[in-house]
This record gives sequence, structure tokens and C-alpha cells, in this order.
Amino acid sequence: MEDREINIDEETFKILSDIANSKSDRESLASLSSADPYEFRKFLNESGALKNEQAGELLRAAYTAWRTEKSDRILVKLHPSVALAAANPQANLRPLHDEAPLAGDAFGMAAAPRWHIAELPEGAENPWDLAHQHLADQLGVDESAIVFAEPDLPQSFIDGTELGLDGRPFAAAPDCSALVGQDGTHNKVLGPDAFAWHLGDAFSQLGSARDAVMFSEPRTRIAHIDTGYDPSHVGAPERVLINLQRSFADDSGNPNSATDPGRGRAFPDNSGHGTGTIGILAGGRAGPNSTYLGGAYQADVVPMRVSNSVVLFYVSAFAKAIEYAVQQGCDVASISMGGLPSRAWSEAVNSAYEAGLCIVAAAGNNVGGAPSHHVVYPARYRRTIAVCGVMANGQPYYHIQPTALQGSWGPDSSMTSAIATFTPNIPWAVFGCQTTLRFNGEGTSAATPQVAAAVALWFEKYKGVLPRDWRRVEAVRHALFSSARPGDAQYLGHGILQARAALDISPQLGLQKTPPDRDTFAFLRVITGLGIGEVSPREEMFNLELTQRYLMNRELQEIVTDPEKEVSEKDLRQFMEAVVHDEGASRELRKHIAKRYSIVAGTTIPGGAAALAEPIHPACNREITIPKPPYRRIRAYAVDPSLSTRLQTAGFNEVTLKVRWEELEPGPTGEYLSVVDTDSADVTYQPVDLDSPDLLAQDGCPPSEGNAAFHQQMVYAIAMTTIEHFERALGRPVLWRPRINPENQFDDSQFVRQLTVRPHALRQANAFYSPKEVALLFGYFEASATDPGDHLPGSKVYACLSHDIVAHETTHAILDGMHRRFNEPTNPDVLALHEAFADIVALMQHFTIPEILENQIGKTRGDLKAESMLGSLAMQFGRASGKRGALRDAIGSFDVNGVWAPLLPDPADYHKIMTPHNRGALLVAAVFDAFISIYEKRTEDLLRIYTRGTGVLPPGAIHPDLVRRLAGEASKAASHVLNICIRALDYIPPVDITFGEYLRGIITADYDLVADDRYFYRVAFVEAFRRRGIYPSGLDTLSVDTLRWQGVDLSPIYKYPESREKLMLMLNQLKSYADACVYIQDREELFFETRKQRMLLHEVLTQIFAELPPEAATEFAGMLGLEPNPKFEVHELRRSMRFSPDGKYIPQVIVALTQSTTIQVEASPQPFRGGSTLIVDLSKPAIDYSIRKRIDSDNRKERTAAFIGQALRDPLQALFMQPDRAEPFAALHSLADLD
Amino acid sequence: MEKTLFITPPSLLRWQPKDDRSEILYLDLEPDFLDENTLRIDLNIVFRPIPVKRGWLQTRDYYVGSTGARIIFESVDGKVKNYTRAAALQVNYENTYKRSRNATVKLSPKISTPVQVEGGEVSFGKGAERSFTSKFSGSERTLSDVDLGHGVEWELTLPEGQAVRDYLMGNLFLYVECSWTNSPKQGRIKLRPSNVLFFDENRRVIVDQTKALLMQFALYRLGTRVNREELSIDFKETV
Repeated sequence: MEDREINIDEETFKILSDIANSKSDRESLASLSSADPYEFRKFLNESGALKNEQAGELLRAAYTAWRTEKSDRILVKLHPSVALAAANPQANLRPLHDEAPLAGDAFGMAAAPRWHIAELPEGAENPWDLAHQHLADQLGVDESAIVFAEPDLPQSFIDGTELGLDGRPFAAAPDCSALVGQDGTHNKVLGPDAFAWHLGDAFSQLGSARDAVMFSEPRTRIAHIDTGYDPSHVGAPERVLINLQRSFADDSGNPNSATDPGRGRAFPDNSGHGTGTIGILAGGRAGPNSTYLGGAYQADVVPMRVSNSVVLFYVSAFAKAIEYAVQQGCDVASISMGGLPSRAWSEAVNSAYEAGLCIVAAAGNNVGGAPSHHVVYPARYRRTIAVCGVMANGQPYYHIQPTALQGSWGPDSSMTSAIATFTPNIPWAVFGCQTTLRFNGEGTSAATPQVAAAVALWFEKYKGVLPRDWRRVEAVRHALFSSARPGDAQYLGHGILQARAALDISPQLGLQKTPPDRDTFAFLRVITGLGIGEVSPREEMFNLELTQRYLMNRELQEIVTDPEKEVSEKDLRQFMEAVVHDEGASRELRKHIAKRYSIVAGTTIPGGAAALAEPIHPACNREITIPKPPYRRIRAYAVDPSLSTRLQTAGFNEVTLKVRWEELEPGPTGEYLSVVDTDSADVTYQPVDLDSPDLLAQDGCPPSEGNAAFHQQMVYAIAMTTIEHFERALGRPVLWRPRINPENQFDDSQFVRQLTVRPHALRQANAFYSPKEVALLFGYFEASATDPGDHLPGSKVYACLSHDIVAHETTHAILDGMHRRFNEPTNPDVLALHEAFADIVALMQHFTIPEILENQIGKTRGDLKAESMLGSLAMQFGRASGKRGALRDAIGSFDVNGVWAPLLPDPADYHKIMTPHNRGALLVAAVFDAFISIYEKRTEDLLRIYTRGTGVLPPGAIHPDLVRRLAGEASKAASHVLNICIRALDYIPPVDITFGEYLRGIITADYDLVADDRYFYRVAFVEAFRRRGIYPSGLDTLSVDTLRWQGVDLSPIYKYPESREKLMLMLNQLKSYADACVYIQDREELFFETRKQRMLLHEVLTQIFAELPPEAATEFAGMLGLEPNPKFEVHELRRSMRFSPDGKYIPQVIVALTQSTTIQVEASPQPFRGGSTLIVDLSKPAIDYSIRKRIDSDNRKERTAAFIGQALRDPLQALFMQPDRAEPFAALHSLADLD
Repeated sequence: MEKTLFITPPSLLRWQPKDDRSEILYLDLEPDFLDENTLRIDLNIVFRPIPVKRGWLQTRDYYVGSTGARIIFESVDGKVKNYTRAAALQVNYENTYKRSRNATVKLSPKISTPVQVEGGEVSFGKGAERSFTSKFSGSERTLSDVDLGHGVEWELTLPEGQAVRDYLMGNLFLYVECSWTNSPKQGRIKLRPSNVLFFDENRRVIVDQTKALLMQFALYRLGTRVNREELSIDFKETV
């Protein structure tokens, strides 16, 4: 039985075959050459493979094989010289360390060479080849200036702690309520059943040791170098030096914060590794009665973030962090990660040692001995302390089942500075779960902070007598090593940490200095040079690369088992042969070794010539990859067909719109829209195939009133343009409303992928959006026989050919998808807002068409208050139906004599005009007015310059350059206003909306995104609304500050301690929703995920209300704008990702909660709804705003009853009130004709 | 008295709609109450390779599947009395056993999240005879077990280099008998594939794990995910 098959195309089949038949990993990776390493990393994480032994190496290889901007990055040590100033700007050469390093830069002489980082303009197949070849040329510096160069390698540390609570890698948010105990599988030894057992006297003795040391100022300072930390976790240290924390991670995070940015940002799987290790190092109390988690909780901690994950970090970040720790006077550095050696690292470690900074580093982990059980760097440097693992029963953390993670050790030569302490089953603070720890922390990552804490305690005790240089490092190592409990030295080095006993060892300051650490093995010098005399920089670079290859290549390790011991001549020859055949090594190194081989062995390498043969590159790529086009060009009318019949306007009425590319079925039918062209007489028109080559080559059908195919293409193009505007402003995909279930009004389970668009559905002068069909229906009619405008009497006029009408109706559909309750009239503003908003979108879209914009700006000489088609809507529809002007006009109108006059704002209108379209026109006019003010503000300088300061334009046409500049500003201002208006939709209550509340939404949404209101946009809106008498109720003043929604006052709920925890529970649930949505591309998947998350949130809130004491539950519900007792609905849930103009990232979730009851209106029950919109900022995380419409508000009940009562008495308005009204928008638009 | 065993989440093979079956490994189970305190659960681990092919007419180019699994049964405050022991299963191994049911048990999905479930409750009648057959021909695999006291962990591994032609379509039947005194019968069962490998049309392993990972990635880029995540279900008796 087979339920599922995977269908692949020929291209994928070829890739699979190539991988299957490849002879090496390198060849396999080449088969996927177009892949993105970040995508690969995401895949590894999601598939749970990141903790596999192959995955880390493979990921590193992928970063090299699939060229990224970082794979061309090198670290280069340069002599300071004037030539540096002339370095090639393309290489972006800059110092590695922000501040001057300690050594050699004294007195500002800058005599010593310094490390720099650069991106080379020309890449290479192997990153080491970048360092070996043409480096000086590429950098644009003198060859003699280069002291050393190495690639900025991605490093990978095998670790099992990058797992969620359930033991799986972090793909979704952890379940913070889950209890994860110690792990006894795979023969891992359990510790005693007591919190933080590892601190006990039978184990590390850290508990007794920390009790024995009284900390005093200035306190011992610990550098925590890791993936950052979660400051809100109870396991975070109490004494973090906030001002000194830094991030050196290679991402866009804040460089002055070591806070772990959380999953779902730069990386989908941020692990929280640092949150776990910092807790063991110096963590606080896990609970009010709990003991401290950290071994040195009294010490000062300087957190430094070097990456998002220990599985991938860069040499450069690590070197920077160590240098920074030295500069900040840290006493000890705790490093639960590591990798391959690096010159930048070895120099940083030597510099730290000289400065008295004791580096404590993890020995590393492996799975079944793979890729190697040898200690990794920097733990392998002899001037550090390498931390190995020992289990609770005193046995080495090794020889457990081969599929499990275990600690690294050896070779013997690397164990001279090693000590062991306890792992696994150490308490591990869980990132993103404020109060949760799991008790199965493992790996040498969990052991390292214990030793670092012991070092800190010892330093604190003896700080009065310790000099600040290398002698303190030797002294503390002596104390720890000599007091350690003896064990199997092969695995445990000096033995098991006994922190309390170490305190009794007094400082010995006469110990011998450890020789400087090197990053290569001695025997390599025989291979790359003569092994005597001064080593040239080039040779040192070969040696370092060889060392790295040795540690990565099992074949080399098998030939030379301990690189610190003497190597026989036979092994040496074999080693060199293997290097020449090692495809992972650079070509330069392999060529060099081949040359050296003939000197060492007196013969050539077997097969060497073939292995080193220069590949013959074809003249150019044999295969052509054609990318998908970014957009499709489609011809359309700029306004409507009537303009093409006038000489003045025909020139710009035919435009070509750029619509986001998607593959289309005939119709057109795509992801969002399906155009179905059957008219009211059931005649079906042939669907246009916009993917046919003929139409693709000529941007679709030419504009024509008589061609149904053009009608279909035009509605598609304009509706898609409108959708794109919304998606840009909202930062998320547009979703249509769910299909209505006539049996159950609360059923919202039926996803609608495509909005149906029917260009000729109605034989009437109407067009409307049908929620029932989730469709746009457009009509056509015959022009007025008596006053046909520009038409032949009786000729056909099509709504689907009016740019404005299509945009207007599409907006109705989008708005209904977001706010389904906004077609329930509960006050005069609700339906009017729907109409007005649709008009605003249609109007503002005028300004996105350069042809029409420049023409009209030229015609009005830049005065947007003058009569122009920019402020008019549906001109053809209006004229053909007997009106003088457009169907609606935002700035003026024609009187009975055909004379146009501007509309003058009258504050009384808002209280007099009640029909939806006319009332909506007030809002449209207010927004347009604000737009004009903004436009004038943006262009006042231009006009001053053009008029030499007078501001008065000379008579006649204005210069075309000025027209273009004014048009550009108008377009920009319109785009901003449209975005502001759309974004405000997230900041309004879910029911019973008023214009005043919409204004508050506009102000708040804009403030949140653009705090600095340079062009006074917000003031312009307030002024325009005020001129039309549109005020929010209940405000004392009408200033921007008072109009902004106020933040949520949490003090009432914080009276109850348990409420704080419940609030975090709710916020975590929302974070998990946001995380789940980040990478969902498919709208259907997003729809169902959102629906599922709405249900989960409902469950969480119900549980919170049930578990809190009644008073606390009432306060909590009140904060959310709910009554705790009646049922509630999580009506909407939306994720939003916005970027402010200054690059600020604002991750938000918008939640709409609603409740329903009934009110009696003239003896008949009518639904009455309340609820709130919560704006949640996930970066804090906190509820920023709770925009409420309380269901228990008697005033609102009275107002609503009065409004509905009055409406019911009017037979026309009663059409809107019928609960089962089938087509609310059809009625609305028909009524418009009656206005 | 009829007893019901609640299963959450409802992820047993029997309840998964066909269209949603995208795993390479499935779990099914049958519970039985041997006496007031003892619950027996027969586990059926279903290995199901997914064919990978070009177009609709092409025969299968590859299969993607697993050759091993880890299964963990853990009770809450219970004690395991008996379970399927470790076995080196030889070529042409066949084992059929029959047993009559002791009690009528209703298996009921406890739905905490909105999941479309086909079938719903399943009842196993008292006295009904069930026959289980394990067949492994042309392959060899090894079952190891660890007695956790309150649970049991099995690991099924296939020695490398062996043909897996028939094995790939196979089922692995395990059982565990666990007793509880004075506490509700509840616990958790976890299942995880040990690996994800690719096989040729004759269902022979064709690549090592590294290449398999890259081939999975190639499918992933196509929008196809081969799920190797752990399946975990909780069970709890209610009377």
C-alpha cells in the first residue's frame, strides 16, 4: 500500500542521479551548486539532522561549495603602511578589531601588524586559494604588507543541546509547560534526583565553593562567549554588565546587545544555547525557594554573542570576542564551543593569556567517535583550560551508545591542560520559556561553565594577591589541576573538578610560563619547508591549512595518529600523497606538497599529475538558466475607455501595468484571482491565455472595448495591482474571506484560494463584491439616451474597464477578508468606512501611473486642488449615466450648469449626512485633503527654488523637469498615504468602527512605524479630519499625542502574581504562531495554520480564565477587552512584519477577540458585539495596545439600538439590517444610485 | 465495564487520512486489558517507503525510506512485566502468532487540535482472535531492547550492505505488558526513524547517509519534505 508519491521533474532527477553517482561529498555538493547555504541550514534543522555527525561538516562544506558573499571573506594581517589607505575599495578592507588591540599598539605608534577583514572581489573554488593566490593584487596593497592570511572559515561545533524541550531541534516554539527530566537513554548516567546535583560536594563542589567566597567590588568578571542569552529567563544571571554586552554575530542584530534575538528572524532555529550555558555559569534562582543555578552567580558577567548557533559561527566573530574580553578586563572566559585552529584565534588566545584572562573552553563532542573524538580548538591550545566530560558515576562521558552525543578527549598531547566535570543531565534554561528548565543538559557545553565558575571563585578569593598577567592563569590552572579528583587521565586529563578543594590551594606565582600556542603541528614543517630556520609567511599559511585538513580528513588522521609525536618517513610520504589527492585542500597547497614530495621522496607522487591537472574550463556556461521574470507587462486603460476617445487624453490613457509574475491558466486564473467570463445571459466568452507567446510578446491584448479578452486581462491586472499594494503595506499575504456555510455562520473552515472575477456578470449599472460567492461581479449598461456624455446614445459602458471601479471592488473583497464584521452596520460609519476606504485605495492608485500623473500635474501646474481627473472616480460611469462629472469626486463637483467648484469642508456634514456613500465621501475628502497638505509640504522647497523664492508660478506651462519632480513627490506622498491608510486597518477595533477610531488607528500605526514625523503627516491627517468635524469620542484634546491609542495598563492584573505567568503563556502562544507562519509561502497553509492557532489561542485563554481566581480572571479579561463569562471568539489572528524607514524591524501579531450577545430593538432581537484588537509586539514581547469595544457598555448598547431602530424604520436602510441579507454590497451600491 | 484508551494526538495510522500520510514510518496499536491492573499494547510499526518518480507514467526512479527505528514505551508509575525481546532476525525469518483478546477495549482519539480524523473510535471485541505475522526474507535486521523498568526501548537496526527489498515494505510487531497499581494507566509511546535513505527501483540502498541528506535537500528545494521527526503519542485509560 502506497499512499504518497513524490513527483520530480527531469532537472531534479538529474540532481538526484548526480548526487547518487558522485564520488565525493564535494562532487555531491557541486550538483546542488545553485543552492543557498542558509536554506540548507534551515532544511537540516527542520529535518532534525543538525545533530547528526555528518551534518555539521556538510554544512561547512556547503558554505564553501555554494558560494556566498561570506565565502570570499578573508582575514589578513597587514603591516601598517600608507598603502593601506589606497586599498581596493571593492575589497572592503577594514580592521578586524574595532578598538586598538593591546599588543604592539602602545603610544599610538601602531607599529605592530594588525588583523583586517576583507571581501575579495574575485572568488576562488576553495577559500584557502583566496588566501594563497593574488591576494595583494585583489586587496590593492603591497605584497610586503601581508604578514598572514587565512579564510574567515565557518566553524561548526557538534552539540546536542540545540534541541527543544521535546528533544527535537527547534523548529517550532517549545512547549514551555512540558517537564523534561534527566535522560537515562543510551547508557547515559542519571544524577541524583535533586535540583542542580552537579553542584554538590560529591560532584563538582561548586555549591560549597561559592558559599566559601565572599564577593566584593570590583567583582571578578566573566566573559560569556556564546549565542547570546535570554535576559527574561529566571536562569539568567543577576549581575549582567548590561553596558558592556556585545554582539559580534554576523547578522543585522544590535551590536550592543547580547540578547538572543529569538527564533524566526535571521535564522529560523535559534537554539538558545547561550541561555543554557549562562545559567550553569552564573544563573539566578529557578524559583523563589530554589537554590541558585549558577556556579558563580555572584560574579559580574559580560555576555558576548558570536553567532546564532554553535553549529555555525565564524572565525572572525570569535577572535573579536576574545580581544574584546581582554579589553574589558575580564578575568575568565567561558566558551562552550570550538572548531578548527586559526591564526587569528591563536594570537587572541596568546594575547588573553598574557593579559591574565583565563580561557575555559569545551573539549568538544562527537557521535560514536565521528568526525573525531579529539579535542577541538581553542580548548586544544595549551594556554587554556580544556573541559572534558565525566558522568555522575565518575566514568568518562564516552563509551555510551554509539548513536548518542558524547564528549571528546585526546590525543594525549592535548590533555595536558584538560580537566573534567559533570555532564550530562545538568539543568538547562530553555530559551523562550521564562521559567522553564530541562534537566537533560548535555555535552561538554554543559560542563564548561562549571569550570569557568570555579576559576571565577578562585580568582575572587585571591584577587588581592594576583598580578594581572599570565601568572594568574598559571596559578588558577595549578590550583584546579592539583586539587582535582584523580580519574582516567586519557579521558579526564588532570581529573575531576573539585572547586572547594581548589580554593584551599594558595596562589603560586613562580610557575613556569607556558610557551606560546601555535596553530600547527611540528611535523608539518618538514612537509611544507625544510623544518629549520625562519618560517616564511606563505609556509605558515600552508601549515595552518594542513592542520585544518588533518582535523577534517579522517584518512590523514589514520596515517598520523598523534600529530605531536614523531612521524616515520613512510607515514610522512603517505601523508603527503593523501594531501595531494585531498580534494578539500586548496590547489596551491596540493601543488606545493607535490613539489615538496619530489624533494623529500626523490620521486613524483603516484597519480599526482592527474590529480593536479588544471581543469579545462569551457568558454562560457553550456546551460542557460533563465530566471523567472519579476513581473508581467499587461496593457490596460489608465482610467477608462472614454478617455481614449478624446484628443486631450488619448495619449496617456493606454498604459502598461507591471504585475507581479505568476504562471497563469487561461481566464486568467492565478494564485489570487480566477476570471470567469460568463455573462448574465449565460453566454461564456473564451478565456484569455496571457501565457500564450503571442500575448506575452505584445504585453497582452491591445485595449479595446469590444474585445472580451481585453476585459478579462484588464480586471486581472488592476485587481492584482491593488492586491500588491495591500501586501506591501501590510507585510503579509492577502487572504479572502472563508466560504460562507449557510448551515453554520461560525464555520470558517473553507479556504478560498481565488477570488472569482466576473467581468460581465450583471446587465445593470452596478458592480459589487459578493461575500457569498467570494466574487467580484461587474455590470455593463447602455449609455443614457438623452445625456450620454462622450458616448453614443445607447452604446455599452463596462464597469470592468474602469480602473477605479475594479480597484474599489477589489478593496471591498480584501477588507472583508480582514474584517468580516465591517459589513455589519451598527453605526452610520461602518458601511461608510467600507465604501470610503475602497474609494481611497482607488484614488491613490491614480498616482501610481506616471503617464496620467505627469499629464495632470502639467495641466494643473502642480495644483492638486484644481479640477483634474486625479481626484475623480469612475468618470465614464458618471458621465454615461447622465452626470456632468465623475461618479464621485474627492475635491469638487459640477453644478447643474456644468461648472466645477471645489468642495468646501463643513464640520456639520458629519452630523447630517447618514447615507453610506455620501458619508464615506467625507472620509475620502479628509484623507485626500491630508494628502494634498503632505504633497504641498513636500514640494514647497521645489516651488521656492523654481520661483526664486516668491512661491508664485509665472503664467504658462511649467517646465517639464518640474512636472516630473512634482509628479515624483505626488507619487511618493500618495504611496505613503495609501500605506498609512492600509496599515491603520490593523489598529482599529474589530467591530462597530467609527471614523474617529479610524483616525486614531492612522495616527498610532504611523507613529509606531515612523516615530520621526519629518513632514508632519500625522498633523496633516488630524487637521483634515478636524475640518470635517470628524472627532473620536471621549478625548479631551485633538493632538497627535492624545489621538494615539494608549498602551495597556498591566498594573491591575499584576496585582495577582499568577497573572504575570499567564500573560507570558499567552504571549508565548502568539510567538509560536508567528514562528509557525514565518516560512509559510502557501496561502492555504497559512490560512489553516492561522485557523489552528486561533483555536489554540482560544484554548489557552479559556484555560487562563478557568485557572485564575475569579477577581484575577476578571481583571485579565478586562485587560483583553473581554468579559470573562460569556463565550468569546478569537475572530482574527494576523502576523505582520514591517520595516520602518530607518530599518527598524517590527514583528507584530494582531489579535481580534469578539463576543456576541443580543439587544432588543423594537421587540426584535439584534446581535450586539464587543471585543478588542490586541497589537502584540513580539520583540518585547508585550501587548502594545488593546483597542476595545466592551460588550458590557450600556452607552454603546443604547446607541446601537437607536441606530438600528432608526434604520429599520427606513425601508431602504433596512435592507442592510437583515441578518441573512445575501449581498450587502450589491444593495449598498444600488442605493448609491439613489443618493 | 467497557474501557476506553484515549490517544492524543490522534496520530495512529488508522486515523490518518490517506492524503495526509507523508511519513516513512507509522505507528498503530491495539490495546488489551489482561486484568484489572495490566494493559497489553500490541504495537505495529509500519515502514512505508515513498516512491520518487518522474511524471505519472515513469516507473519509480527511487524510493526514500528508513531501515531502522527507535521505539520507546514509557508508562507513568507503571511497571513493565513483559515485552518483545531482542532478536537477531535471520533471512527468511517468519513468525506468526495468534492470540484471543481478553477484554473489549475502545480506542478513542482525544482531539485537542482540529484534525480531520477518518474512522473515529475503534473497538476491539472480547474473544476476537488476531493473527500477527512477521516476514523478513532476503534481509536481516537486529532488534535490541533496553528495559527501563517503567518502560522499554527498542532499537531496530539493519546491518549495512544487506538487501532490503522485502524489508522496506514490512511491518514490525512489538508488544508490551505493563501493570499499574493504584494509579491511572497512562504513558507515552515514541517512534523515530533511525535514518532516511534512498533506494533504487529494486529497493536496494544506493547512497550513504551524507548523500541521502543531500538528496533529501534536493527534494526539499522542490517543496517536498520527507518527515523524519519523532512521533509521540500519549495514552490514558478512562473507565
